[in-house]
Amino acid sequence: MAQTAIEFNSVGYTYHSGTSLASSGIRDVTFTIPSGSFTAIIGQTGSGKSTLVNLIAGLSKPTTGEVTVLGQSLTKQSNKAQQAGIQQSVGYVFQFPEHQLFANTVWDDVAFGPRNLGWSTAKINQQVQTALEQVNFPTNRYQQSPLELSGGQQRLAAIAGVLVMQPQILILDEPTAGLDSGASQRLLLLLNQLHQAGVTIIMITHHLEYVAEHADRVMLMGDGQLQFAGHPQELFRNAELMKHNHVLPPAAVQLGQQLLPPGTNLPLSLNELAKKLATQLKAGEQDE
Amino acid sequence: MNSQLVFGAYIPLASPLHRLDARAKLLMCVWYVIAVFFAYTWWTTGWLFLALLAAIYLSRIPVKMYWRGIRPFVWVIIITAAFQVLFSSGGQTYWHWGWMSITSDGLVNSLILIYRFIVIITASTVLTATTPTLQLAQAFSSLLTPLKYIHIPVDKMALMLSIALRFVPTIMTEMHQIIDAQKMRGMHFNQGGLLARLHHVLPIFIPLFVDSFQHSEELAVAMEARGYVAGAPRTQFRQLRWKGHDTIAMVLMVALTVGLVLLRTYLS
Amino acid sequence: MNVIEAHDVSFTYPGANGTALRNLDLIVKAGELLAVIGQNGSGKSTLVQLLSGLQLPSTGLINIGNTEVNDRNLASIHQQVGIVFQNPGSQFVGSTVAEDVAFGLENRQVPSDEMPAIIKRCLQVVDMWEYRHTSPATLSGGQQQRVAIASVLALQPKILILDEATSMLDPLARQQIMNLLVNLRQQGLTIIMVTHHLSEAEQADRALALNNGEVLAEGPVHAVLSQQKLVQQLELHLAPGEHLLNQLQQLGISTPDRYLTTEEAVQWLKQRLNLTQ
Repeated sequence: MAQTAIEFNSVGYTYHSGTSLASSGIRDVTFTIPSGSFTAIIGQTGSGKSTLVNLIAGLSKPTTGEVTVLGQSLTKQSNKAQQAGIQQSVGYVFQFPEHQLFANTVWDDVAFGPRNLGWSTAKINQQVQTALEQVNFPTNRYQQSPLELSGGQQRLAAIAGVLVMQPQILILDEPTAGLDSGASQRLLLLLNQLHQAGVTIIMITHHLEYVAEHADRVMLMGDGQLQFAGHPQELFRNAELMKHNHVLPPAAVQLGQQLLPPGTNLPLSLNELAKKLATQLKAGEQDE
Repeated sequence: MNSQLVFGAYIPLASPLHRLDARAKLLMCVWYVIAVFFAYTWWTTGWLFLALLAAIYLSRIPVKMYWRGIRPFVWVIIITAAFQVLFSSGGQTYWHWGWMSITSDGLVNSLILIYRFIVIITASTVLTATTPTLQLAQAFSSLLTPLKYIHIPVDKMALMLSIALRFVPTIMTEMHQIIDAQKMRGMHFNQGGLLARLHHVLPIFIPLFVDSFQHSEELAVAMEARGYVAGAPRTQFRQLRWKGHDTIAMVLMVALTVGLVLLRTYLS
Repeated sequence: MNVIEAHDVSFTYPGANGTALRNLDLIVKAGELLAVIGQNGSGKSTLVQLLSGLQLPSTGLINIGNTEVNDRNLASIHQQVGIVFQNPGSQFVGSTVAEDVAFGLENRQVPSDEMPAIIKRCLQVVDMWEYRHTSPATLSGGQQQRVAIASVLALQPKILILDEATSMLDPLARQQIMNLLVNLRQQGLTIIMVTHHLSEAEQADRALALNNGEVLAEGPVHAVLSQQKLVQQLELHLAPGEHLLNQLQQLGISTPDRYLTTEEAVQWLKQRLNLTQ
């Protein structure tokens, strides 16, 4: 059986706790994420997704309950060192990660993390090279200033800066936001490769198409609570639950509902839907 | 939702202070800040502190929020206070080494300095947290109207001030995210000596500067597209209305000052 | 009636060595929804800035309504053209939603007592009236963009330009904005929308495809989008209907040559399925 990478045990997190402006980020959330899985986290703005991943990343401590990440536990009583322990084994690609680039060259920016960890120069050089190659960053631009790059290249450089730390768990918050279709597809391909290499991937996204095609698990947040955790197919069948949480089903499901006879297993991707429709259309042609 | 409660941010609530005219609040705040510089005895500082507590209570904003407002300044306060202690002389000398000494006057002065920092920051936070920024700008330009006659661009300055305030929450949110991101890349802000810490400032401030610059450029374009011309006459959406409770507030302010004068004269 | 006429317009950014936009001719009729498509750096944003008077053409002529875009007429141009930008977070001046809508009105010197009614009407159009006392900073991206649209509508522009205004939004918010635009067009507003998403572009009347500062194609939206190579070259986000038909074609099913919107594709497929079942 796959090992558990992340475990939440009745976890709650309250902002401004102890004041009259206290607002709860998440309440009573319990789940496990197996090591090596690709989990998508979905839900409306303000549903608690960011609070949830900040807890996974060790950036905040739960106000109630216990978070366990790769065997390291975190509770309200935990200290900064314990948080830092988790932070070191988790990579976090924030939304618009290119906003964090600061060094004079792409190379130096990617090397920032390893230098913080005090690796040897030889190891740093090797890992930076590997990370930049991993994201397919154009070789001739390693020594350029991040500010001179296109938006898509800046994003790749920023992601390389996270991958270089060789995290066992990689969190991404809406990684394709603002990218054009080609760049989005290439980024998802990269995530698939990392997933196959054994990295546990957690991706916040609004694109249920991506969830359908890439994730093996999905968690739906709503109102600060976990509304659903399980296989994407299972969620997409539950139109009621999705509607209630203001989540649009993927296009394949929407179109499938209009085009396939009621009761058919709904396809998760448009390619799958096309195959089903093609079979039907061909069968029809032969009948004539 | 969670990050807007910082220094300079408006917190929409329905408190007695929120209902006051922006001009009244601005006047009170300035008046208070001036008064603070006339207080250096236990009684007078205590008296003004009490008034501040009353204002905090009337703002209906939790005390913890004010603490959050002060927290970013803690280092500045401590360093300034330390200089004050080490480099001022007078009174009894407890310790000295070369240029530096610790004296009773130095200690008292630095205590007063800390006190002033804290109450002034908190008082301005009370003002900005209970007054929407555009109203504040309006109050500012309305109170400084006389300066227009000597060709000081009061309106422009007021709008600039209000926009600067309006950007504080945005920039704070961004700063927190950048800090988090660099933390995740192994940076530990609170470790190492002074030099190491200064070194940590760059990975935060360079991206923050680039972002802020971009934001302000975008905002300038958006403002121009919505017909803003610097210095051109504008109308006002919110008419500032001076009501009975504003006058009462000013009377209270006078009472506070009278109290201060009495305490200074008879209890020092 | 033509609300925009651009003739042989070129633009070079000061100090830049390449031309951002070359020899553009464009006519936009009143009440049209025009989609501008193209990759980053294709000249889309330059076009937006020229049409809204934020930049002046290096050569050529642009007329908005009966006004020529030049440095003497900028006030009139800004009055006729409203623009919503890409980044929802950096368009706000006000500390509440209502105050933000008021900002433009104040600049126009609209009397104070007329403002509340205008603000209410515009916020209701974008379905944000209940948030009037909220700070814009606490809204979601989609809500922020709706407020930005309201702030622009308050100034009663003839032309509304959206410069990739949906690119940072989630699909649901994008859909809401798109529905809003379709409604506004029905009320007679001329809309120009810069987008990477074919699901949005296909709802326009006309499309303008730009590449490297030049016009690649211009015309009725179906005609432009039917050029498959062009669509592929621009790396746009495909609309689901188009994606599905492309796949079917690869599986040996013959599909129409012309571009079908998702709605049309569903209709077409329904018909095919009924006929053949």
